[in-house]
Amino acid sequence: MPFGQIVGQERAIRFLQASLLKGTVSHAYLFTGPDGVGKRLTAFGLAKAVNCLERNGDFCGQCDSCRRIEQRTHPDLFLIEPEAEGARLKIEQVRELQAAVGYRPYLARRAVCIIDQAERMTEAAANSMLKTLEEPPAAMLIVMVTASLERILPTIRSRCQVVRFSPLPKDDLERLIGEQLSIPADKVRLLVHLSGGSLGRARRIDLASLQDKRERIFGLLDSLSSEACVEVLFSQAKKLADEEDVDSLQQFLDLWLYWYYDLWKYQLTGDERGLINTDRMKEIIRQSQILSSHQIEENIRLIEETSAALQRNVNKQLALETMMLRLGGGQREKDSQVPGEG
Amino acid sequence: MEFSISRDEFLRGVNIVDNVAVIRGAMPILSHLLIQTQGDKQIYLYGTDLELGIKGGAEAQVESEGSICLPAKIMADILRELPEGSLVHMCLEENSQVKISYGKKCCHLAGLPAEEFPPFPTYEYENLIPIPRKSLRDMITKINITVPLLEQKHLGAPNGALLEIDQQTMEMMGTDGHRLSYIKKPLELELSQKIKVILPKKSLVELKRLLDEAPNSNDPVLVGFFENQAVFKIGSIELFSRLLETYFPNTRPRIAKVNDKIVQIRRQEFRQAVKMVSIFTEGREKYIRLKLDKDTLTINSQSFGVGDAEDQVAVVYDGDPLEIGFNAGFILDVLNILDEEQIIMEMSDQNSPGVIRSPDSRDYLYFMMPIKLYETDEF
Repeated sequence: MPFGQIVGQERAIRFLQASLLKGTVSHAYLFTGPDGVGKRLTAFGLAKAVNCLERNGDFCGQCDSCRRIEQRTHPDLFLIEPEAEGARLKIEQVRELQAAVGYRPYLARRAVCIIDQAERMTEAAANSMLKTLEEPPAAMLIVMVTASLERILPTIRSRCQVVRFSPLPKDDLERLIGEQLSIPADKVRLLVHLSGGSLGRARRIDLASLQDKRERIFGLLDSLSSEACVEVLFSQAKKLADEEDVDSLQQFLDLWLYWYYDLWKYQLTGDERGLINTDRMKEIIRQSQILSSHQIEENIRLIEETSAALQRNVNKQLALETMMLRLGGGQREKDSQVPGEG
Repeated sequence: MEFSISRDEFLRGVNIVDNVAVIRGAMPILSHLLIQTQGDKQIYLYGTDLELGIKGGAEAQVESEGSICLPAKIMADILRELPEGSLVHMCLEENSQVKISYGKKCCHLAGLPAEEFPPFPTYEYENLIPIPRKSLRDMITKINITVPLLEQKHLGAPNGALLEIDQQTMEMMGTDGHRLSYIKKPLELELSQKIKVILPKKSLVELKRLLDEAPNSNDPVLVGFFENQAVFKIGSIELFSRLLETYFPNTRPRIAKVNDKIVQIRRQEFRQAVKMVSIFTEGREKYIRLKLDKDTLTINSQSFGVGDAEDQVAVVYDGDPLEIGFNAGFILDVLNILDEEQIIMEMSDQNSPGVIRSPDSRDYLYFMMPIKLYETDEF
C-alpha cells in the first residue's frame, strides 16, 4: 500500500516524499492533526519508505522490509504506544528505546521509532526523550504522532519537524467509510458528519447506539411538538444525564443539531440532496413547514450553546433541562400562535 | 518439515541457543528459536535478542525439509522431560503447529512462521578471518574487566570494546571512564582493509563463555565483519553480534605515554596485601594508599569507626618516593586475571594514572585513575 493510497493527506505526503527523494529526511518528525486521519498510517508508511528495498521515495508494501514493518516484526522498528487504553507512556518505554539506540541497525538502512499518542508521555519520559532528540543517532528516524500538539513539551516540539495533517475531506471520507466499514448506505452521510473528518472516529462510532440515540431524539421531538408536560421533558433530561457521559451526550446533541440543520437546509432550498437524515424525509418536509426559519435558527443556537456548556463541565441535567424547556417553549408558542420572545 | 533427532543432541543445541532468547519482550518472536533443516543429516537452531544471535547445529535424520519458530523455553522443558537417549520425532503440521513425539508421548506445540524471525547475515565461510582461539580468549578476558555493562555517557565510556585488526596485529581496548585496558596480539593475515568495530559487552561475555567451554582447543575462531554485525564461528557454533554505533574515546596518546617510576612486584604477594588492606575501605571507592620507597611498597587504609590496616611488600624499585591513592577493587580485578609471577606497576605522579602490565612487554596495559589523597577522619 504505497503513499498514493493514503487518502486525504496529499499535502503532508507530498512534503515527506520530497524529503525522501532529495535525501533530506529529518531526524525527527512530529505528526499532528485530528484523531484518525491517517497520521499513524503515514508514520508507518514513512518507516517503510526509508527502508523499502524496491522503491525510492515511496514504499511497495511487498518487499521483506515493508512486510516486516507491517507485521511489526522488523527488528529495527520501535513502536512506543500506551500499554493500555488511556495509559501514559512511561520512562521505561523510552529507556528501552535508548538502550537500542547505540547499535547499528539490524537490517534496516535506518531504524525507525514511532511514538504514538506522544502527548501521553509522562514528564520524565518526555525529558528523557529530549536527550535522544538532542543527540539524534545517525541511523535512526523518530516519528512522534499526536492529536494535540499543545500538550507536547515545547522543548520537544522545537527539536522535531512538525508535519500537519488535516481532517479528511467529506467526499474522501464518504468513500472510505463506504469501502471499509460495512454499514447501510443511508447511514454513511450521518457518520461522515458525526466523525468530523476522522476515519478513526467514524470507526469508533457504534451504529446501534447511534440508532438508539436517534430514536430517542425523534421521540423527544414528538413530545416537544405535542402538549407533553414539563415533567416528561425533565424526566427525559434526568435519564439522559444519568445514563450518558459527556462524549456520548455530545454525540447526542450533534445528532439533534443535524436534524435542525436538515430542516433549515430543506426550508431554504427545498432540495433533498446534501441532507443527513434522508431516511426521515417525510418528517423533514412536515416539520420544515411547521417551524419558522427563525425558530430553527434559534434551536440550532440553543443546542450549540448547550453543547459548549457541557464541555465546560456544567451540571449535565440542568443544562439539558434548560435546553429542552426552551426548545419546547418555542415550539408550543408556535402551536398556540403566540409570537416567540426569541 | 519432518525429522528425527536424539533428545540429548537436541537439548544440547537448544540449551546453547536459548540463552539469548528474550522471554518477555516487545517482540514475541524473540522468545522463539528458529529451527531449520539443512540437507538430510542436520538441523540448525537460531536464537537472538537482536543484540546477540547464536546459531548452533545438531545432527538429525531429516525426512522432509522446512523451518519453523518454536518457543525456546517450552522446547527446552519438553526435551528435559523426555528420557535420556531417546529418539525424538518432530513434524510440522498445519498452521505452524509442530508435533513432537516419542513413543506414546506426544505434544502439539504452536509455533510461528519462519519468515517472521529476524534474518541472520548470510556469508561464505571462506571469507572469514582465522584468529587463534587462545589469543581471542585472552584478549576478551583481559579487556572485559574494564567494559561497563551500561553506557557511561557522562564519562564518555561506551558499553563495548574497540577491536582493531590489520595484517600484523589485533588490538582491543575498553574503558569504563575510570580505567582503561589495552591489549595487542600479533597476527598473520591477508586483509584488504583494516577492521575497526565496537563489540558490545553482552557479546563479549557470551563469546568468552563459549570460548571457556573448550579452553585448550587449538582450532582458530573464524571471524567475519559485515555492515552492522560481526560473526564468530567457534567450532560448530556461530555467534552474531550487533556492532555498536557510538563514539569511542581516543586512547592512543595515553597508551603511548611512558611513565618514569617503574616498580616490579610479585603478583600474589601484592594481591594478598591489597585484599587484606581493602577490608578497611568503604563504598565503591575502596580507597587505599600506596607509599613507594626504595624497594618497599607500603599499602594502608583506614575506615572511620572500623579500624585501619597496613601491609608492606618487597619490590624492585630505585627511584623517587611517591604516595598515591587507588581503588583497591581496580587493582584486584587485574591481579586476579593476570597469570605472570611478577608484574610491573608504572606511575609518574599522584595525579596521573597508574599502569599495571607484565614485565616483558607492553602488549597488555591496564590503566587506572588515581584517587586524590586524603586523610580519613581520625576515630
